[in-house]
Amino acid sequence: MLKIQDVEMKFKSKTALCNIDLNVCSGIYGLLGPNGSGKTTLMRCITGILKPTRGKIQAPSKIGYLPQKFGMYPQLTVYETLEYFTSLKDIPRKQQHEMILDCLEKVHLTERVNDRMGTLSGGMIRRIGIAQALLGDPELILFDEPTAGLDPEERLRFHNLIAHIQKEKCVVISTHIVEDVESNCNHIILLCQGRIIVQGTAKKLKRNINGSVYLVPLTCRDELCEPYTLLREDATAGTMRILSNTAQPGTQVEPSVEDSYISYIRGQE
Amino acid sequence: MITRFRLIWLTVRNAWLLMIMPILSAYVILPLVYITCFYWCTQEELLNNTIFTIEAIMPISGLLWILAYLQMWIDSDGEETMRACYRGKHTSSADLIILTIIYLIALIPVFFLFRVAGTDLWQEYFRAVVQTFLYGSILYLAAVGLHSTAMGSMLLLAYHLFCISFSRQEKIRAFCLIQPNIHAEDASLPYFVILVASAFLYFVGTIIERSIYKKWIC
Repeated sequence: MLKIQDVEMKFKSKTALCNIDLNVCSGIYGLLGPNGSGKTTLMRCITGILKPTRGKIQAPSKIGYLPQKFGMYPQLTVYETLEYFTSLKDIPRKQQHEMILDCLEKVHLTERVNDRMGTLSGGMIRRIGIAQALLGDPELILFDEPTAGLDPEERLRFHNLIAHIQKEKCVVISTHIVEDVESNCNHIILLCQGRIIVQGTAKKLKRNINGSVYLVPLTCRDELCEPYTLLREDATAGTMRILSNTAQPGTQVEPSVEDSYISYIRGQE
Repeated sequence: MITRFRLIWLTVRNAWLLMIMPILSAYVILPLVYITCFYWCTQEELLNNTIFTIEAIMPISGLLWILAYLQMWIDSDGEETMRACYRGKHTSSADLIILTIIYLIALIPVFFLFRVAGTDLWQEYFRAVVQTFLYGSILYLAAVGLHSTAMGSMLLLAYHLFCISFSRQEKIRAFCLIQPNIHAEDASLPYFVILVASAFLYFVGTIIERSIYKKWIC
């Protein structure tokens, strides 16, 4: 569905993307990486907003896209905003009404259909953004930080929504929130400094650091053997989570995707 | 075509204040100046004052319509989403030309009223048409080139004020597109050349929006 071959993107002397090769079929793909790792640039290249300096991108003609920034048209109603996008996407007028209402129902905003955009909260505008990305039945849907600004209930709804649409479509979610990717994505792509450092299922990512994660009581801090990487310190539970290839005091625990993410990112630094 | 007009209409709806201001100024200020001069000034003063107001208001006001449209496509937070719908291949020139034409048509009744009142200002209208097109094309080029509608409009506003202030001086007049103190029949503006120049600027703007513009977005 989406084929990316040897893509490179340079802004003057800065290389934002380097040797990106990717094959994306149906399912949910999580694009994970720290700030400035090139996730948004890759999304923009896929949509055609940016032209890569080198390489080839073969993408389907129908793409739904939710960028990081989506806030607009304060004077238009929710319906008119979505109507604007149906017109931009060249959706026949006969289908527009039904499609708009259907997408609004998916993001639970049907009752706000006649409200002006200017009166909506940030989270609601984000949901309108999700709705516009779904308009026109796109084969490939790109979400850039989709859950930013959503309350927990809406985040859950969003996860359910993409779980529902992934059966027949391809969804790519770019985020730095590991939980979002871990709970939803069949495939994780880890991006750092413009390069794909690892990709695969959550299971595969976790497997790579299996046996290296320890839960150590804070009281045993002095007994830790170097080298180790501190992953998380939980003062309430009185424990710390560390990553180490040498035996450590405390108990060995099953790694999470977050552990794996930190392990890879630290390895690149 | 219906879709295009629908999109333009929604743009107008979104920025209705920017859209209504030029129409209000044309339908309120111009007749007000005319009526005031009609009763309290000589025929020559009436003509001079009305022409001055037309020149000072009409071309620069038309920019507000273009500004309203370009704000959506250049400054707004939704710009990226909108450009993604066209796979980054959108250009605004055709819509801007349509908007300018609609604006200029909307002003015809005012000039018709002047004619009914006994003053023929159609030559002034055609001069303003040419000026509005050139201003629009310069704003478009500046806005896509600088990736900012504010900078583009400030540049044009500065030029407009320069013209109003200095067009009386013979040495500088050649650089002034707006000549509020000179009647259209006496003005030495090459209308055809100006229209060709604005078409050229629209063309260059289109190329910039399609290619170089993609580097600005980051």
